[in-house]
Amino acid sequence: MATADTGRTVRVEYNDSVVRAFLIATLVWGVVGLSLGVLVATQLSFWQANFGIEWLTFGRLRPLHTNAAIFAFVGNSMFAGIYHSSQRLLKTRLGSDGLSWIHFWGWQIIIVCAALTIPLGFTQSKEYAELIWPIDLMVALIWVVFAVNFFMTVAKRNEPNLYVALWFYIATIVTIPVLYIVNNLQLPTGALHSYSIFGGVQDALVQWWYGHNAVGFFLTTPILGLMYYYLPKAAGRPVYSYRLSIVHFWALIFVYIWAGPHHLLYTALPDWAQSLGMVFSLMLWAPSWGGMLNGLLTLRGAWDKLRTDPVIKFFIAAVTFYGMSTFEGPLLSIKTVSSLGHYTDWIIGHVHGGTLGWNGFMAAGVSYWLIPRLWNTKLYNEKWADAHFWIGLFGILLYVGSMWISGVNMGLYWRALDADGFLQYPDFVEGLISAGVLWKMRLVGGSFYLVGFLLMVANLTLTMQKGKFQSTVVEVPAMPKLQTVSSWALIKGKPVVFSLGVIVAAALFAVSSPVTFALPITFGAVLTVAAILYAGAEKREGGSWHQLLEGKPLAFTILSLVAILIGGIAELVPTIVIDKKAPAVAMADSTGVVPAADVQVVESRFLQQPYSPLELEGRDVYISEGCYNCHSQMIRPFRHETLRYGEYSRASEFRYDHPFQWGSKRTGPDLHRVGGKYPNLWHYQHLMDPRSTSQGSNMPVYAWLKTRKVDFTKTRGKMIAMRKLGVPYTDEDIADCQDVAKSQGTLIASDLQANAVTIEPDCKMVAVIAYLQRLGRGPQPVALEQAAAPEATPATPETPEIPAEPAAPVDVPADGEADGATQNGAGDLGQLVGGR
Amino acid sequence: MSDYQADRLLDHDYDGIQEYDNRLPNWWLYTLYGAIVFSVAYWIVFHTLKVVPLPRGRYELEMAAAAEAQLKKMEGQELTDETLALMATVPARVEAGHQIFNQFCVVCHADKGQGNVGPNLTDNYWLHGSRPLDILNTVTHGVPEKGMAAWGGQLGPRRVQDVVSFVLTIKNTNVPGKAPQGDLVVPGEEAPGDTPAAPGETPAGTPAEGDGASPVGEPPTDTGSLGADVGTGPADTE
Repeated sequence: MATADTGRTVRVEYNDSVVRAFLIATLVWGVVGLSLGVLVATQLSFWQANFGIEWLTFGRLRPLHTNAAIFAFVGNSMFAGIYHSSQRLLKTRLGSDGLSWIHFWGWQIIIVCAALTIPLGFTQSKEYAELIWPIDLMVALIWVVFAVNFFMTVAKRNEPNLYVALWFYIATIVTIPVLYIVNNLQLPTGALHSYSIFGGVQDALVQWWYGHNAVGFFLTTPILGLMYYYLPKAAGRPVYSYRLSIVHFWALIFVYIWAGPHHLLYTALPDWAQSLGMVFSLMLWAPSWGGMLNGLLTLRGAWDKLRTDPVIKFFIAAVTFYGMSTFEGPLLSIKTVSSLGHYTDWIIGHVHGGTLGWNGFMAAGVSYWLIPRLWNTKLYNEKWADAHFWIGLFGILLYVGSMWISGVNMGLYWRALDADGFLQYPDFVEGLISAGVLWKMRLVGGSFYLVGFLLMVANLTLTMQKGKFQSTVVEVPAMPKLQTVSSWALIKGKPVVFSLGVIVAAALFAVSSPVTFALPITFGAVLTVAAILYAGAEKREGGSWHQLLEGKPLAFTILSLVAILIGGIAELVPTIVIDKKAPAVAMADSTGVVPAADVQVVESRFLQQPYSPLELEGRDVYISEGCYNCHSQMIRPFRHETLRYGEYSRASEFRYDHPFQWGSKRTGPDLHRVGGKYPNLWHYQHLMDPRSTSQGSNMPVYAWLKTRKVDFTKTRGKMIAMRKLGVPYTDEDIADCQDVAKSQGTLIASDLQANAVTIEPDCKMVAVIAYLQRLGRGPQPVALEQAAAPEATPATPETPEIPAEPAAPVDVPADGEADGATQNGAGDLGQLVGGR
Repeated sequence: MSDYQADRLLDHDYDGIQEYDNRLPNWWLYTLYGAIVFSVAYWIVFHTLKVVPLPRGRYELEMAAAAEAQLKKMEGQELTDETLALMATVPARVEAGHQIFNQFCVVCHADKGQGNVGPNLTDNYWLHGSRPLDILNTVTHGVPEKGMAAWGGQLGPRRVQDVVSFVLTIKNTNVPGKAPQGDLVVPGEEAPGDTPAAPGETPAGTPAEGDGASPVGEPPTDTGSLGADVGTGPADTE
């Protein structure tokens, strides 16, 4: 960092107006996001709290809550902090005022569009990526505006080297578009509707690669960047360790991207991907805690401020919650722990520890620190800020604590077996009811948090009124002329070469045989030691390799991009390639072409057949209502799940599911094998009044499904889109779709009619019943005479079931289960051919 | 490295923020190294050497253990289709049956049961009944006029049950071999729930959603049709 000082100075006026706008937006959207959270929490305890309005049901508002909290609240606070701190760290005004304002207003318009479309049922049904494709395009565009603006700022900086906060900003800026674009690849069927180009297992993996890394690169890295600027500023203490910054930054961004599959443990995802997700989550623990350490240890010598300064209180609590969440995350990623915690409130508690504790308190700390400074005044009332801290902290603890207990409790309820080895609590609702008090405690906790936040909004509004906003003007030394190394020389520097060598060794190890695996391990270990001895000790003129890299934003950005791409490519590409092949093999098998011993073939009864037109429309209703928010469609390989729901779900059963509907939370039971479990009348009554069939259920009433019609003029376009995505609809299927849909609808309507229910065959209720009855099994009749599949599958005899089932009616309740399991793939006869 | 000094400031600041260059805490490094070592070991155990089963393999074990426990409870009771079906889910019994099959049955039914002198056992056409008890009966008493020997005396009931368990696992796997003989078994004719609406099957107003209780003592046949996917291990893992 030996730079010749020219002594020349330049006058810089920071663009603080856009920072102010983002700060105000943070406060506004914070109130909105938190209020929505309180509302949906209320709905879980009191199902009436949607007031019978379809736009306000839990399935629609929960995505709005998550999107508002993540992208509106944290997003705006992140942009405010990045724009404010980057200008100071780079000693220059933002790259472009125009782009800054396009960024600001574009982002707000996106939020408003989201707030309008999601309650109306326009959704992609991918968690935290629900926004429909036109809004996705806007997000991508605005993000590009942000990136260009940021890098323009970097380009005209008056500070040679990039401070650690900026590293995290860069990682955020390059990673988010990669995640967002890949996960939102979709085929539009209209202005407001599309299908994900990925299906089933692939879609699930892509989604959770995105979902997990949205947490990583939207809720973590930029906020760590903010921490690195505002915490030492507020504390007036030096950052604890520069080398820790380097190590944990690179380790964090490289490892984070791999951990996505931990959301899919015990699902139909291939085992190798599940195990990668687990071990990388464990390896993520230390890199995450590196950030916490640098935050907490920076306060050495300033702990007294913890008593007096509310800003420091918020920061310390935030960093502590960050540490807790990033310990809990790896813990939950251990397969055995996941088997208990997945689908339960534990996960809800986990993410709220992160969002309310880490993100919410960081945003509060930054706002309390920044707003008085920008408005050239003091905080209106320090006592209120103190009160906010304690009210908020109490709220979080109540929230997280009750969710932990409720989650573990629910997980134990589901798996409990009695002395005979059967379900102790066969009724799903039993577990639900047992969580009643805890859910109300969560509601109280969330409300406390909201009250604290409102106190902050009042406090800061009064602060703004009291003070006078003014953009900061400073005199800074001009950018010194540097004797530079080339970016390329840095990119091919020893640390990079050694790192790549270790990664290659790791890859070789992962695919090595039981005989050869020791070789790549040795190779990797030797390289690591050599790297420490050889590359680590290297000194160049002008500083270490990393110091030089900090002066080369382009090289830095490229290396960040490479670091985050490796994990994604390693996990996504094989899954997409292998999975595309698997169904073909299985199909060939069902025709007897492939020799049994050669391949591990999917049982043909587990091969999904395409949906009928009505089922496809019903599926879109299911998606639009957000059913996936409470119902999973993924039975895990545990005996207790088999007893409750039927055989565990196979990857091949989802190959035509664009998008996948596995869900991540069971507020209601799994639905993967619900098809045929109950008669149509049951579903009708259940949707009209869930409590008539399931005493104690908290599901909303879906009576409007009976009066809303399906628009069958769109069905054809949807089927054509599905065919483009690989669903084998014939020309005939597509041409006849309206007639077939109508006849299947009539079949269901007349069955209901026979039970004294009058219903139009083209209403959404009938479509969704058709879809539900299809889940987990093969094609269903679409017309009276027609007994077999309408689709291309030959009408072959059914399951290999023992024919003499007349004895079966003894166990009526179990029948549904048995059906779900054995009739899946009805119309197809195959059995296991897999050799081993 | 040798000139390391704790809490020494780097000679630079960013907007007033200074940095120390303190060493990484040892416990932190051990956490990182430990996680890496654990991950490598985990991969070796589960994926390279495959010495411990992965989730779907564990599931097979869990189901087999439960079936065994169930069978134990039913010991002494009259043999039913369900009991035999349950046996076919216990790998130990299927394996034992497979060995008996290889010893005594391959001559006429061929190595994979695809038929030679005797009929193909892997299709879904059956001469003397396809229910587990039918097969048990055929093996025990034979069909002398067709050349099928009576094995009941020679093998004894336990071994007969084992071999039936094995046959149930290859049934309807359709290994190419001898042409079908006998009656095609068309399940589903009487199987309930064939159509989406099976009114009366489950009474409307079933009290619970998601109730999955098999009645106590009922063998968990809900894991599929008899012998459909058992004995051959996790089919679609990896």
